[in-house]
Amino acid sequence: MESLKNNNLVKVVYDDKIVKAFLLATMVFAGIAFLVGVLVAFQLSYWPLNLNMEWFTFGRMRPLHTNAAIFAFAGNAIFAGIYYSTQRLCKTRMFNDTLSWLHFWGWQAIILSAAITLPLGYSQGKEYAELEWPIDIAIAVFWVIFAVNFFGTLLRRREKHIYVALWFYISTIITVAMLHIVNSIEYPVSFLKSYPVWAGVQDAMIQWWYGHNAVAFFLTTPFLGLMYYFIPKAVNRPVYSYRLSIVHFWALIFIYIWAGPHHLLYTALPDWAQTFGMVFSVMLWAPSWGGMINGLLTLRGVWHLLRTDPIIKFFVTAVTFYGMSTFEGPLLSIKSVSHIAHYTDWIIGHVHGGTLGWNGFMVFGMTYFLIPKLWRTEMYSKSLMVSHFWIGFTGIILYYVSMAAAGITQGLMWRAMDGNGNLLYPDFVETVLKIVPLYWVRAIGGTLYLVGFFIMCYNVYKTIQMAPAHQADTEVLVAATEKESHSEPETGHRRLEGLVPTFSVLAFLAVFVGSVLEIYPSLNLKQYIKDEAPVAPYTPLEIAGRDIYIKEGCYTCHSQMIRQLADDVLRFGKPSTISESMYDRPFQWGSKRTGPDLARVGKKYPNLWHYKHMLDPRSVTPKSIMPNYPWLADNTIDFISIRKKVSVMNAMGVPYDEKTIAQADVVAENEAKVIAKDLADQGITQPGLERKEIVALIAYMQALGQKEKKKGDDNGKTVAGSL
Amino acid sequence: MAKLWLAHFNDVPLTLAAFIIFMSTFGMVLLWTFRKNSKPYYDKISELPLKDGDSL
Repeated sequence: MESLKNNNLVKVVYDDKIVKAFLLATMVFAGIAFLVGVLVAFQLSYWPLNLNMEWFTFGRMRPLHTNAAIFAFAGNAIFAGIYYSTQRLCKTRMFNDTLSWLHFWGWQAIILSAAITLPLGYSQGKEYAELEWPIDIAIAVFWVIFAVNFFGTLLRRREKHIYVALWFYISTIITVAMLHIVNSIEYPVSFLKSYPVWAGVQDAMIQWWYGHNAVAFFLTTPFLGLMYYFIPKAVNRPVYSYRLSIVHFWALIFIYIWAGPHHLLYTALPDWAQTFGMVFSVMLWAPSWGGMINGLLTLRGVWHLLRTDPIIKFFVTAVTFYGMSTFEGPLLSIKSVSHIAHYTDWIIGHVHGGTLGWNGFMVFGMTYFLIPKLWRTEMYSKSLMVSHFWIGFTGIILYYVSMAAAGITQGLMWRAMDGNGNLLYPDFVETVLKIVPLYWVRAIGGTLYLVGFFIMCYNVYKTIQMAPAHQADTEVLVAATEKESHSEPETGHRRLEGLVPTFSVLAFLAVFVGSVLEIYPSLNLKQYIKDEAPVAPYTPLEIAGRDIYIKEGCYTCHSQMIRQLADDVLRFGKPSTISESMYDRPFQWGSKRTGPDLARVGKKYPNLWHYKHMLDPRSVTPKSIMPNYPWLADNTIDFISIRKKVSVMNAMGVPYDEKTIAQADVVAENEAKVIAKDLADQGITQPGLERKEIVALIAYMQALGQKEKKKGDDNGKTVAGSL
Repeated sequence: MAKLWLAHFNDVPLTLAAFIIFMSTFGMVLLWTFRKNSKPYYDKISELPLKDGDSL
């Protein structure tokens, strides 16, 4: 690898092949992520595009879209950028080529597993953490392989100082590992089914600690590292203020980790945690904007490049979107703003401003920068790059503006009241229909973004086609040791920056302390739930129905959390409590209301209403945009698996008596017969209905909001005895 | 015991102390980073991305 040694210089051969592989994988999965994104956008605009197909329906496609965008597209892009820049900043080849390729193929296998299992409905029902336990383990294993390779490279670097981009990579690797492991602690039921050990408010807190910090440490810190490396490279001048980058780094990683609860404002989450989330989110304004300004001012003196160089157009626009998103994020975390925005499309617009603008354009800029360097040629067409930029930019603007307008419109309609305190728009579907035209605008915006990407694919293809046939890795001469290049003594932060283990431990402490202080108190549920057993657990059939609810991705459109807000209470009933979801594994509070909240839908409608609604929502709610679920009346319930599920729930502390556990399948069959008979009495004559999934789902829907025990109830431990 | 302490956490002096420690640490990092005479060193470090090594 490094063979030539001459006058304190050694030859280093950078591993370009691994960078090329990750870069091409980025482009492949970008295409899939964007394509599925456009598909779900059109499905929301025009429900028949769900095609009545089980694996093609929005509830299953949406997790595929988010996972593909985050872990496949952004993930591969991060790895490409990190493998390229780390070698050059450390003046050495990656620690181990085998680990590099293990990481590459392992990650692609994980993505492939996700692409198969998510449409088939294997999901944990937790946003951005839907993948089932065997895939979770694989993610942990290949992340560790990546970490070993990365830290190994740092340890044998030829540059004493660890440049700021590498700090951001270090924090990413450490924190993502922590987030993934803690949020994925689950109890397997079968090969592709598990329940999280966390329940209700604990699960909500940990999930949004994970979810928010997945944005922070997967879509922000690694991209800031890329920004600190690739923007100076592209403009051929150092970052505006290196000292500002130091403050940016420490302030950002310390504050970000606390902000997760801003996803749960006005919910049943304890007030102190909500306030924590809000305050720390607002504090994020400072480091985020410090970083943005640092990135933009790197162009001081060369702003003319913005006119002439398409790569700079992408980078500057990306950093500008970073600034806009990190201004809007804290704004949305302020309780009074959250009242309007939460559960609406404004949040979707906010998220896409970040992913399409910040992450997407950073990746496009980086790709246009790397392709000619790695393939030793020029880009095929500069004008196609410019076309890509403007078409993609127009797409983002259409997307963001339509979603912000839709969200604010719907948020205001939800809370609008007349002089007597009655809701002005009590019919939920009315507030949805109002914004469907904006869904079309969003779909057009997404399509434009996709068209821009296809232009890029063509440009990259033609560029690689005209590259020289022989492609060798980059070879350079660098100083043999750092001692020859640094003579001044190192103290304080300078010295710390050279100590990888110490630096990494401090970075870990910065995120760990906040995590523990924030999460630990919420793990002690007893301080919030006074009674011994305030709610009854789900019956065996209800558990089966709940799993179908999760499998179909109902949580992608329906919340189960009535907030402590007058309009929420008037529309859906009394506010949800912590105890009501204390046995919910996973919690299903949701983050978006394309349909109404379901926390208290139990017993609101007869069984027949639910049966008709699931098969054809428009038969009971004219103009509903919900897909049909005809397969629920065909698919059979796996009664045998229910026994194992109840047993696992009991092992995690859900109070079932021995008889219920031992005969869970029989209990469920008896419950199903009761519902099937009721449907038959009302004219549904489907043979074998009592064994169909729709019956289990109806049982679950009818249980929502009905589990609180009243005075005089027995201890609730005997489910079997009541049937 | 720890759970009880967390459940009834209402120690104003401790909260204040934590706040002061947090702010003063932040202030010290800030002062250290922007102290006098450190600019040349940081300027040198900030050039790292521009030096991949001499091409062969």
